[in-house]
Amino acid sequence: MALLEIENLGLTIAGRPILRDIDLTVEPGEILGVVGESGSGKSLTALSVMQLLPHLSATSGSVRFDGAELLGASERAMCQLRGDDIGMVFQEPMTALNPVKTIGEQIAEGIRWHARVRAREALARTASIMQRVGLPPADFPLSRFPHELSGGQRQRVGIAIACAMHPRLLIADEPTTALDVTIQAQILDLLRSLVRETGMALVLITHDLGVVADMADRIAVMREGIVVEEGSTLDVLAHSRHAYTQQLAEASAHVPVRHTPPVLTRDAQARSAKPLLSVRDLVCTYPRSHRYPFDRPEPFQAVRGVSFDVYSGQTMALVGESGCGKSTLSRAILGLHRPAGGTLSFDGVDIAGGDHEQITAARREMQIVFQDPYGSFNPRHRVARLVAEPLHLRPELSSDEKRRRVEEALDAVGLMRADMHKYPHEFSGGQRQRLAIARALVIRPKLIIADEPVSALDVSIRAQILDLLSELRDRLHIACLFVTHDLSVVRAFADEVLVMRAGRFVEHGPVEAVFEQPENAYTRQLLGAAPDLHRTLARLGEDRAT
Amino acid sequence: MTRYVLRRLAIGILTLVFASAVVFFVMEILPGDPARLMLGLNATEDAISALRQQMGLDQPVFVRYLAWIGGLLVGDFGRSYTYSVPVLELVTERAAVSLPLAFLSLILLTVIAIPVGLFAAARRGRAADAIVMGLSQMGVAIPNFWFALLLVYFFAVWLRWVPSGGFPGWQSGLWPGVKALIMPAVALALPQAAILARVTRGALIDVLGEDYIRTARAKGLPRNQVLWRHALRNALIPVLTILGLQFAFLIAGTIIIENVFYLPGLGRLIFQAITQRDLIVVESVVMLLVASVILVNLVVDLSYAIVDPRLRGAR
Repeated sequence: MALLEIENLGLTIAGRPILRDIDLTVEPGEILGVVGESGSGKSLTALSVMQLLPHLSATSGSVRFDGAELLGASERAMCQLRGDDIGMVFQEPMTALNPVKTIGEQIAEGIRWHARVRAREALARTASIMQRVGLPPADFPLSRFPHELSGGQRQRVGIAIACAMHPRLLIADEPTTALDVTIQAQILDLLRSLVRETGMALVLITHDLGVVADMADRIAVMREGIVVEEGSTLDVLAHSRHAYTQQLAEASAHVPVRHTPPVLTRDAQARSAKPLLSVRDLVCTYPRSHRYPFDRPEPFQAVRGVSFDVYSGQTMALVGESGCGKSTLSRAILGLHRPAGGTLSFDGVDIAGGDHEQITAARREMQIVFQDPYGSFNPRHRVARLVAEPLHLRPELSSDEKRRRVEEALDAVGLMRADMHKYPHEFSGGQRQRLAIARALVIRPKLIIADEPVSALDVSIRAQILDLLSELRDRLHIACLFVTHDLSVVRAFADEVLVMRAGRFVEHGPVEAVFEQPENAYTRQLLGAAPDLHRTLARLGEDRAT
Repeated sequence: MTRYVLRRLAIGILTLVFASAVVFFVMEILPGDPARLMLGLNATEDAISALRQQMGLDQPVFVRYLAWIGGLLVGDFGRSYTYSVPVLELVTERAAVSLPLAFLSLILLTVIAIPVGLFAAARRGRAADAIVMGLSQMGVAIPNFWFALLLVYFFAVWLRWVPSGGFPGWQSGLWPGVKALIMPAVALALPQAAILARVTRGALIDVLGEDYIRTARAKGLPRNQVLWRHALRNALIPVLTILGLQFAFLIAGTIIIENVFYLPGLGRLIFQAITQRDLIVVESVVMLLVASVILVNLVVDLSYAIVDPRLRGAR
């Protein structure tokens, strides 16, 4: 008998069907990967097992844990299972912990509740589980609050909470999505070793095929509330018979076609071309908070003297983990942060400290596309107004001309002209990112700064947006500074890459060279930590052959 | 933490100094000469200027301000123009009624509002929630003096449980004193409690949508435990903010309520002092009220840091 048996599970929320005919089983000691894009129902499947579904949910079918039916089980019975036999880890380590309670209290709480032990005993068990998840109490006292920990450390606390009672089943819902690749690799290692040691079963929910290929014994692919394919990892990912799985695998490794040759710095220098954007010895600082009145602490250096050029038509990737200074650097280029030193010139104009009118004119040629296609639009404005926003920089244009520009921009990103009269909420995530690109294009810029433009998107949408950006690059010869933490996107899309760490560039070179023969140890570490679907599948194939 | 406390304390003191200047100079620019008022319509100019000199009114305004502040610091509040007794005596006698009234209503307000908010949030969307919120809507809409009259009619005239007004004085014992204050305190507190209950409910419902609530549920804690152990403390910040603001309302509300219940408190004192141009009394009472509001807000600021550890490192 399997540990968890989901049979014919159906779910409706407020009468709307969400899940249909879900059949899944998990054996003890097994890792089941559940993959799918947003809205596929993978998280709600997990919450059905936990019986933590939103208001107005109705389930049908059967979910059995160790032979006992969970659907329709009493709340009391579920409270005994949750956190004891079944643990769950959530996606957002920043918000999944209670900010006003110490980590020790939060881990010990479940132990005291389930094991009914004294405070002292609970604390001892808390200390041992913290040791196990890599937070030795000597370095991370139980009295720490969540805000005193980094994202990866918080996720370790989340795992400690879920594993405090040594559950037989652990459900991890996108446990590493919000983390940097090197931290992701550590957390995945921790989960893998917990499974090996204790023989617990793990259901790993993720959108990342690279992660799931690396971790799972078996995979279930979900789409629109049904399981479209299920089987061993290698069979599903390498020899898939299902069109959707193939499409997902292709999209996650998608490389947009480039019709023009890549623009490389050394070629441009050889031609003695003038750079479009030139950054020299740029330093950006943030003030530290002072400890006593009239204290003048040394400012924090977020960017520590970096220099690079971007040429017309070039796609330059800026890669680094959170806190490395890449956002500060792009904000400085956009004029949103005043640099403490160095020079910035754009199209021959000194934009760090030159003539105000010239700077304004130069800045027109520079636009930005943000990560979050939801947060970057005023929800009360129509598309026509949103896309036309940057045109206030060109007051001389007539309103007819402005309208024509908006239409052109919508054409360019593959949206309908009739969409002008809609509001942002009427679009999907991918369409909104197209809108954001249209808004950047409307002013016909020479440089687009794209800050994680595809990080919030599903793989198939991400492939479409990369195609679009690539096509625009070929057709309009726009330069792009592509800020990202995702190495697979860099490889697919950029001409050159800058690897940033602690405010400095540790490596700079053409994408091929950096990926094939990284010179810097940190770059090698980043590349090694990044999950790579094809590398993993090749390894699995070899394992099976032997 | 110490830095946070010291900073709040410094801000409180600065606010007090600023408020004292505003109170004094606003009183200065008001028309009406206390000396003329004290001596009546038939006084001679000589008599008036002699009295002005005696009261120090001929001094420059800054000198008088500094003298006033210096007096306040050593507990010399001056003499009332109309009653000719030391203001301090007058004020302490009246404050012994008003401050207990304000704090009693603050306590009532808290013990009513927070449980009601918790109750409604735990049953959100259900009938009990709708009924409680409907009642609180009425509570918000009802003016406190009218509500006070209803209370008098019901409890004093009809049931005869409590006196309809007046104050026997603390010398007649604790219970008679408290008994006389209960109805005024309820009249003051209930409309404010209705507001705070709605704020509590709203804050709790916001918090219940947070990720860490789901984490707590996934630990196996039942709903009620999650509400008490995880949601309430996180919801307290907006609740404390409103509570601090409400204290100022309670203080101001005492002026009306003391008149309804015929209580010899600061509210009635200030009301009489204003009509009689007894500026020195007005100034002292206003300063006392300002100081108590600042003190309560300081307590609120400090309790933020107790509730939310993230503020302890803040400035």
